[in-house]
Amino acid sequence: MQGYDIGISALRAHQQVLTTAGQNIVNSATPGYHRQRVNLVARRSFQSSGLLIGSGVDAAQLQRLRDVAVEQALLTTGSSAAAASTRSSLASQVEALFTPGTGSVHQRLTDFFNRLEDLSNAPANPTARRAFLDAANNLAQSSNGIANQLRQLQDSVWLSLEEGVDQVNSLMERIGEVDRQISIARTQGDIPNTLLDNRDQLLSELSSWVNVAVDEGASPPQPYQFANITQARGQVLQLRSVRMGEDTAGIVLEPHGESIEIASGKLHELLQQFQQELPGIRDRFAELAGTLMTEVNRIHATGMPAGAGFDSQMSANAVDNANNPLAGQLADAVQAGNLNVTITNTSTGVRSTRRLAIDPAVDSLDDVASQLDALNGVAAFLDPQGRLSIAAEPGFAFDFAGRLDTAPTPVSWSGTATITIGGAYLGNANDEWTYAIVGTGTVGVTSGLQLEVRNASGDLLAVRNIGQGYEPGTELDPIDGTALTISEGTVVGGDTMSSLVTSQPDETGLLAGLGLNTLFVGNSSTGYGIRRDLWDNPALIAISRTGETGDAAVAEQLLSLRTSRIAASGTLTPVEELASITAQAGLEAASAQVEDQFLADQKTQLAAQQQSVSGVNADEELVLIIEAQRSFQAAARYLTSLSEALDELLNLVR
Amino acid sequence: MPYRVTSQTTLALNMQALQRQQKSLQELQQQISSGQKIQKPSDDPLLLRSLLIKQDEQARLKSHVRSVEQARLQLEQANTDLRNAHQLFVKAQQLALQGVQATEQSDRAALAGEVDGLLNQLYRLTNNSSSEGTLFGGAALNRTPFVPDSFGTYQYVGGTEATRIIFGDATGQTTLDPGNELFTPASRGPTQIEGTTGAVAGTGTDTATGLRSLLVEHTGTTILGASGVVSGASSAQDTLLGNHALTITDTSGTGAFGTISLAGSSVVSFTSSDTNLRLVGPGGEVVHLDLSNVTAGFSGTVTVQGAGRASIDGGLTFAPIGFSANEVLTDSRDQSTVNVDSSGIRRAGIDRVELTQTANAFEALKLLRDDLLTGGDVSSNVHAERINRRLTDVVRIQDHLLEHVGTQSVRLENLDLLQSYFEDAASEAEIQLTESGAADIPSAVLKLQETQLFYQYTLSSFARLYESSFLNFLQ
Repeated sequence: MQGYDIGISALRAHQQVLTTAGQNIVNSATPGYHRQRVNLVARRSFQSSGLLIGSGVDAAQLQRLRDVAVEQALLTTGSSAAAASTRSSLASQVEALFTPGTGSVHQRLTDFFNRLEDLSNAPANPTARRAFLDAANNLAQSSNGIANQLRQLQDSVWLSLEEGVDQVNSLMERIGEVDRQISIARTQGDIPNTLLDNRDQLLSELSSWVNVAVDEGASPPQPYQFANITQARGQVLQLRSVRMGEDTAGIVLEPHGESIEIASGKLHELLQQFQQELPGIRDRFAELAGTLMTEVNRIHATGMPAGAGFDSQMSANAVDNANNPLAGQLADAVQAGNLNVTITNTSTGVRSTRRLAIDPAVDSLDDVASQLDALNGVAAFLDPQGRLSIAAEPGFAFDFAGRLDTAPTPVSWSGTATITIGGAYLGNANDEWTYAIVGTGTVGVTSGLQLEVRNASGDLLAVRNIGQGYEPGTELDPIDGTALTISEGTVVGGDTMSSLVTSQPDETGLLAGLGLNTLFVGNSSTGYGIRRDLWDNPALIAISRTGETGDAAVAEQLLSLRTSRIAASGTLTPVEELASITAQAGLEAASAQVEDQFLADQKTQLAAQQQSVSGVNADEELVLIIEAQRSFQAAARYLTSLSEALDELLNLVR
Repeated sequence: MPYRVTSQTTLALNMQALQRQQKSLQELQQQISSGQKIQKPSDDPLLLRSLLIKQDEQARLKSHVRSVEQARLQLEQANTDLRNAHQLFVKAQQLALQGVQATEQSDRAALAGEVDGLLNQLYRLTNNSSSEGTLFGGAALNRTPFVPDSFGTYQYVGGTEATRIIFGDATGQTTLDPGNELFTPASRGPTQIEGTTGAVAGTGTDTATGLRSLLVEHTGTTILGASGVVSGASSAQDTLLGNHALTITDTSGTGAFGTISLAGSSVVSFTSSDTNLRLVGPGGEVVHLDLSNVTAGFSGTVTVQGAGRASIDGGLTFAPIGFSANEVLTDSRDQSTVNVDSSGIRRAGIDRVELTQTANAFEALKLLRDDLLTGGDVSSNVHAERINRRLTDVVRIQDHLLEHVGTQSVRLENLDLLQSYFEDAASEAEIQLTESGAADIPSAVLKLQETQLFYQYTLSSFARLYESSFLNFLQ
């Protein structure tokens, strides 16, 4: 009856082959499926009639075809590819924020300066003023928009990070469970190919989040390496994401919170983006916006709207403690230096500038208020919120334009003639000039009378004839734009007067820091906007140095920012820096795309190699089916033949 | 083991190829439809950086062109007005010439009427404005630059600074000068005092302009020496000022009668009954004397001293006459000053003070009008001299205006050059932008066709691959 056993073994074995081929075909598109092969082995021979005769065929093993090295490489590359894909996706989102075009921040910046130029050349035109404010507001909003979107992108990265950690935890849990089932199956002598496929698929998914290392070929099986942690087979570790600051985050191991290092995968890239890439470009853009807004504010704060000056001003920004030194209390840094305050008697037109020395390391806002309050013509006080208010006394107005006094202050003066000052100081440094009379006599009459002008260092700046030949009341030849006029009357040799000449009205940056007479309000944290009262009344835009409607000296200074290297630590113009930031975003996106594509190609190659070993080719399987079918038919035919032979034998007996 | 190809591999590779081709097709299509080579920063970051800077430069240049156009409009309008002002003075010159020749007062009055019309036209013209503000008010764009003053002309109250076209890079330039520079030329000439008082211009430099009146009044008479002659009862009506020689000869030897003469004027007989003798000097100066107590036998010369005061503001304020080489008189209306050499003042009266070459455009016309009107009040010679001086003023203003018309024309020319420069530079930037940033459409179209072809090949080959299957051969 041995022959029947042989035939039946063949039927069984080929049945297995057919079943396996069928399984392969139906799973040809199943992710993670590895094709299987039935290894047919001839049964052990036995002694019969002195001959060793085979006893049939066995389906000895259901082999799961895979290349361990390729699989491991695929895990590693898959991890890097997932990281690159994440980087590319985020870089593209950042890039989109800086893509030039209608309504882009680039256009807003260009519009801002163009409208400013329009205003500079039509300072009395209310439409030009409104258009400039619109452009400034658009720039502020556009800047805020980018800052907010970068912040939101960072928040969304954080959310992705949290979700990723949940995914990783779930995957690790499932891997642990599958491992446990594999272990049971193996204990029972089963071949857990499907479970192994499941586990490989889970590992592949896990590798997209973190770097995974598996030594599958080792015996006994080695523990897994997830990131820099080791997880024993069947063990389940849990991770947790931790946000430690605005730009600081990490992933720790539960329950004790040990920090773990992730070398690749989406989590690695998300952490990288969260902590470095996004804050990097956000901070660079914020620095550009902040620098521009601060510089604009610094200049605007020293300007005047048309008129004699301000009745009152209140700071937009407050300090935490008005009695503590100013240093560090304002978003914009304040330096030690002088603040020039000009006070005008509105009925007489008499104007005088006073210089307040401010050292933020020593002086508090209260000290500043006291200095201001001590000036004749203005009162200064602090509100409970730590904001500074300055109000002109009745009949006075004030400004921070550092204007020339209408008349110098007598130091020692006994003549009847007086000096008046006109024009605008065009020098480059703040100074104090002394005017000394040489000779005694009547202005415009006595020959040889002269006026000497010296700076604070005693250097002689100019000598002007004020005696015979000079027409009293007419302007002397200007000195650095400053036009002196001597009235008729007498002068006495040695008599002196002095006055301040101001190039930089606010050396300290205090006005911009406090938000006094600024164009923009806010900072990089709160966002920028246009000062509300300016928005309501564009006539308050302070672009004049003299208060004349057609004077746009301050607007000219503002306009010079367009070509000034104020950005990138004084190396680039605002437009150049914005273009550089855009190019940086583009370079990052391009680099990320290239890396993404390269790794995707690499992964595809490895996947093709992996498929070359483990993938199902339907045609192959059909060939195998035909082969198995033929073998099965042959075995059946053999059994039929054997049965017929036995029937013949039985017929002999009958 | 030979390399096996599975349907999954084929599918994955084909999908990858198709996705890339579709991406490429989309990029090419965007290039063609937008005309731009770069759609997003990553397309060419370095090129984009330079394009963005260039685009801003181009926008800045276009903005400059707009600014220049606007400034030009204003300057052209101001230039036209200035030319018209010049024409007014050409007309005024003609009228002045006619005034010199006019003999009838009615003719002069008619001419004065025409000059008055010119004055009104000048007033309207100098206060003209454009959409951006006044044209001759300097930086005070919203303030009417010339307003009537207390001298019957117009005072400049506009800004003292010129307006400028601003580009923000120190290449700005002046556009509109303030009206005081245009219509108030300052080239002060010698001051001329015309009258009978004996005052002449002092050595100091005056600040008053145009025409003023020097009012000289007598305030007291003192007779020095021991002649016995004292001031008469009507001495308040004396006009004698300064020191004058009074020569008395007592021919009676008792003081009862004799002769008297003032500063070499004709000798007059007197008696002791003359208590209020009116004596007139050679310059017309008048003194009233009481000769009732002439010292007996006195024959000799004594000094008669007339004290007085002077005013340059029509008597609003006075200064005592010091009879010095230079006295400064101040007009309380505008605090301007006139230096007078009072040492030669001999009598009270009203002198005409002409501060030559200081009359502004309005004063020049006003003086011309007034001198035409008052032609009958003075001799024809004096009148002719005055009108000639007015003519000088008119020509001086004419020249000054013409000079500024020229200056403005040069500025207009400069603005034209600037505009051309900015336009050329903007065009150059545009060309560079086009060359650098514009898509190469023919090349993009060819590439689109090529990629499309590959796309079709991919689809076709993919379909062909899937046509063949072992299943097709199984019956």
